[in-house]
Order: sequence, then structure tokens, then C-alpha cells
Amino acid sequence: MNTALPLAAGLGLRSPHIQEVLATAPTVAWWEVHSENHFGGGAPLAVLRAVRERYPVSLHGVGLGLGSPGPLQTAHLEQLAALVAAIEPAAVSEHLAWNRYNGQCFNDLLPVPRLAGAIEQLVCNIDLVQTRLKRPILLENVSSYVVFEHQEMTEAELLAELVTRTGCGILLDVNNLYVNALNHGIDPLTEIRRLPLAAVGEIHIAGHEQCADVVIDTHGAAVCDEVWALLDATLALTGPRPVLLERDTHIPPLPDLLAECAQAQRHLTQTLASNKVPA
Amino acid sequence: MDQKQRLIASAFAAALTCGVALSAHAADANANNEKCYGIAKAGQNDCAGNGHACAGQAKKDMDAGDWKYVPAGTCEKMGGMTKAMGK
Amino acid sequence: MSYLDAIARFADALNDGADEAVPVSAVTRSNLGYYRGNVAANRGSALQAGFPTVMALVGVSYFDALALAYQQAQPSVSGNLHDDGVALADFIAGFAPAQSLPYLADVARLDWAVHRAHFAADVPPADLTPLQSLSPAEFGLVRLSLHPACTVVQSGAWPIHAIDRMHHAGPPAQLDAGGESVLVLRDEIHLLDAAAARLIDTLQQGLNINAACEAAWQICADFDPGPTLSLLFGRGLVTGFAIS
Repeated sequence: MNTALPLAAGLGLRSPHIQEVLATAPTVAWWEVHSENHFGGGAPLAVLRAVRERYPVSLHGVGLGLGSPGPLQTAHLEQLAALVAAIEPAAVSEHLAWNRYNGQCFNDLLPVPRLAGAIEQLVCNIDLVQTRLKRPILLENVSSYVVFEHQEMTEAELLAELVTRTGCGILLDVNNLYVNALNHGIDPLTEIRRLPLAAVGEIHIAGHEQCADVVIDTHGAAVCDEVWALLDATLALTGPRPVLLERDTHIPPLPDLLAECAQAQRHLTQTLASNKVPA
Repeated sequence: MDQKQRLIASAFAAALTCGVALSAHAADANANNEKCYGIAKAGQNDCAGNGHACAGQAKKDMDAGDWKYVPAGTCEKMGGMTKAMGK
Repeated sequence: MSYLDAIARFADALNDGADEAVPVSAVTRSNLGYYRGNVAANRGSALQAGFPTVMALVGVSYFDALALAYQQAQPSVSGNLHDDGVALADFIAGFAPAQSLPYLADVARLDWAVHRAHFAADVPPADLTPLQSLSPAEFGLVRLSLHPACTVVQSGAWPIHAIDRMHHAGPPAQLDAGGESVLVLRDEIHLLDAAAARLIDTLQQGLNINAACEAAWQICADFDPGPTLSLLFGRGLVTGFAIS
């Protein structure tokens, strides 16, 4: 799916670096922030407006819980709509996850059981969001530490169905696929081939960490060689797409992230070169 | 008008003048200027599996009767607390 | 099993550790604990960030244990972690182990007010032109809506302003100095005298200027409402008004 994101590598922008980014205006094609961190007004909104004056911005939500049973939290959606109106982002995305049951919120990205009733609930919630925001959103595949029994489809098959039924796009996180491959033995490329590749509007890369017997998607380390290789294989299938580097924990100095982002740009540039049709 | 009403009237009239003078400018409670850049609090919402998760397996319900924690911060620096309040 | 049943059982496991009932593979069932840990760590970090003064007063270990007890008592109700902590001050007030720190609940109220003011919506000041045509006798009948980033916190017994300043390079607070009231204004904190605090508090309850001044005069008969009203109007904190 086409978004207004530049066909270039972008970087996740987190609080420790915002002031430095505004002061030094580094060369980055676009930034992505977590929507909820800029809900409301005051300084959190003011800094994002200032970033937006200089760069394209992508709003990446973590708290809507689109896969939760029952209605979405109206106040949450209204705050997102206000932020979208204020920032005019190049893309808006959320996760294929749930976070609420019976009035209680669990503040994490919980995997949606791909069982009877899931599709209808997700379609309803995604429709509601897209109608309110008056634009399609990108939906991201998540890391999972458990495997539900008797599931009716793979995550990619579910995403494909949601694209068909809601017109949403896909934010393909290759690190999450790789984490699921390590934890559950799925084959990332087989999953990617199940996706409607034209609907992929953005790709995420990040680092993860081994902890005891499971790999946790901490976004707390550099991107590993295997994920870089998976990015290349993914881009070969999808064609060039905006690529975003995420880092949420053990956040290094900005220059280190800029260097890693430049590395992502080189991978993307290779794809762009090989996709050129000979004259 | 009694004295109280005169006090209210003059206080309100003066305040209104302040407010009307302000209308020409952006309100400073609506932070839109550079002084904000350094004060934005760190956002708490992120999409990472928390690093704490490795150590943070199931926590059982905490019984206040089993409380074993002792305040170990700046509370000790404050003066003037009577013995009756402490402990 | 349906999607809804599976989520209900997952939620039970997150609350009560009832992992056996969750329809996940045997080999991954023990990983449910990572989600419990993640939720607790995410809420715990958010509470630390929202209550920096409380945390400084008691230290990290005590605070984390307090935050965990709070989480068990008060489920999260928002997908935005910045909304977590609304009931922490009341929880502290009723939490037996914290009774040795009787000022802690009022400090938590101040931390929460500062936290909410930081994230409060931007609201433009009201157009005051219609008020200029009122007669002086009508001024007292005006009710004001104040900016959401403007909050009054009152402590009857504890010097909450001095405690706050102590954690911003101020001198050690004297606990027997008596109660203080504070005006939180976006990212600023101002010491208020008790009558001014009562004035603003009464206005925020929706009463008119006359009633707010009367309430303030009950605290201090000599109180001059001028400076407080000028602050509210002059800082653009009056976002609406009505006359009654």
C-alpha cells in the first residue's frame, strides 16, 4: 500500500534523542514515534510539532488493542484522531494485538488467538479506526511467546484476510517474524509469501535478546546479521519499501542509531538498484 | 455595593484587563515554543518486550502483612517529624 | 474454543496465574509468565515516571514494591500508560505499611497533578470581549472554566511545596512546617496561600466569583482576590465562562 512515507530508511524517535534531533537536524528521511507518547498537549505535542516541521513523521500506536473483544476505547481513539489532525503524519500504524478484557487493560502487545470470532472483531475495530481517521492504517505482525492450540490460520493468513476485508495495509516487522521463527520454528519467508505483498506499506527492523529459553523482542540490541539477511530477502519479494529501524531499550547515542539507519538505507538502495528496469 | 462587592468588582476588572491584553498573544499554558523542548517527559508507551520480563516472571499477590521494605530515600533528610509520626 | 474464550482465559492467567486453562501449547505455556512480567514492568516503569517525588522519598525498592501492590489492587483501565496512577495517592493513604510516612499520600497527589498537567490538552483562552460589557455588579456572577493544565493541590498538614522543592535542589523540608497549597500550571509549580487555593478550587467546582471569594474569605478575612484572578486571566487559563 502506498503511504506518504519516503521510499527510504527512517528511524524510531524516542524521548532521549528528541532535543538533540531538534538542535542538530540530522539527515534522516523520516521519523516514527509512538502515538500515545504525544497524546494531549503541552511539551510532548510541541516537540512533535517541531519535528514535523522538518521531517515526515509516522505515528505508530501501541495501545488501541485492535484485537481486544468488545468496543474500542473511544477516548483513546479520539486522542489519536486529534494527534493525526495536528501532525498530519505520513503513515498511521497499529499492532495486530489485544490489550483489554472485561474493562481491564493489560499494557502489553498480546497475541490474538486466531480462533473463531477473531476476524469479525478485528474487522469491526479496524473499520472503526479507519472511518474515524478517514485514512487506512498499517497493521503490524507481532512477536509471540506462546502458540495457541488449534488455530485456524497463520498470522500472515489473518493479515491477508484483514487487508481484503478492511482495506488496511501491512507493516511487516521482519524482526518479529525472526523472533517467532526462533521461538516457534515458523519459516519467515513462507509466512511473507502468504501476505498480499502489494499491501505492505512499511517494514520494521529491530534487535532482540535471548533470555533463558526464549527470545524476547526487547528492541534492545543492534539488528543481527540474520535479520539484515531477512530484510534483503523480504525486499526482494516486496520490492522497495520504507524501512524503519526501532530501538526502545538500551538506547545508544544518536550517532550510533544514525549509522545503523544508514546501513538500512544501503540495503534498501541495493533493492532500488536491482529493481530498476533496464532501458 | 458593599465593600466586598467593590473589592470583587475592582479585582475582576483588573484581571479582565490582563486577560484582554493577553488575547493578542498565544497563551503560555499552551506550550508551543522552544522552552518545551528540554522538558518533555520521557514517553512510557513503547512496543518492546520489556527487558525486565526476563526476571519478571509470575509475581504472587503481595500481602501487606509480609511487607519487608524500609524507606531508603530522601525521606530521611527531612526534619521536624515527631516521634509519634515515625515508626 | 473460540477467540473470546481463549482471551478470557489468557486474562485470567495474567491476573491469577491460572496458566493451565489457557489454550496454548504445552511447550510454550510457561512463557505466559513473560507476559505477566511485561505488564508489571511496563506499569511499574510508568508509575516510576509519574511519581518521581514519591520514588525519591522512599527509594526504588520500596517504590517498586508499593507499585506492585497498587497494580494488584487497581487494574489498569487505559491503553495509554500515562493514564496509570490515578488512584495511587488514595491507595497510599490506605496502605498499612505506608502509615509511617503520613505525608506520602499528599506528595503523591502533587506528583499526579504535575504528571497530568504535563500531558493535559492544549486549550485556547476564551475570547473575553463579552465580559467587558458587564456592569461591575455583574462581575461576581461570572463562572469560569479553567485550563486543564491548571490544578490546585492542597495539603492540610504537610509542606508539599517544600518537599517538592527539596527534590529540585531546594533545602531539606521541615515536616512540622504545616500544610501548604500548590498551584500546578503546566510544568510550573507555585506556592499558594490557603485562601487563593480555596478561591481557585471553588471556581473549578463551577461556582461563581462571588461564591469563590466568600470561600476564600472564610480562610482569610483580609484576602485580596485581585492577584489570583489576574494570574488566571493573565496566563490565559480562563478557557470559558458563563454568567449565573
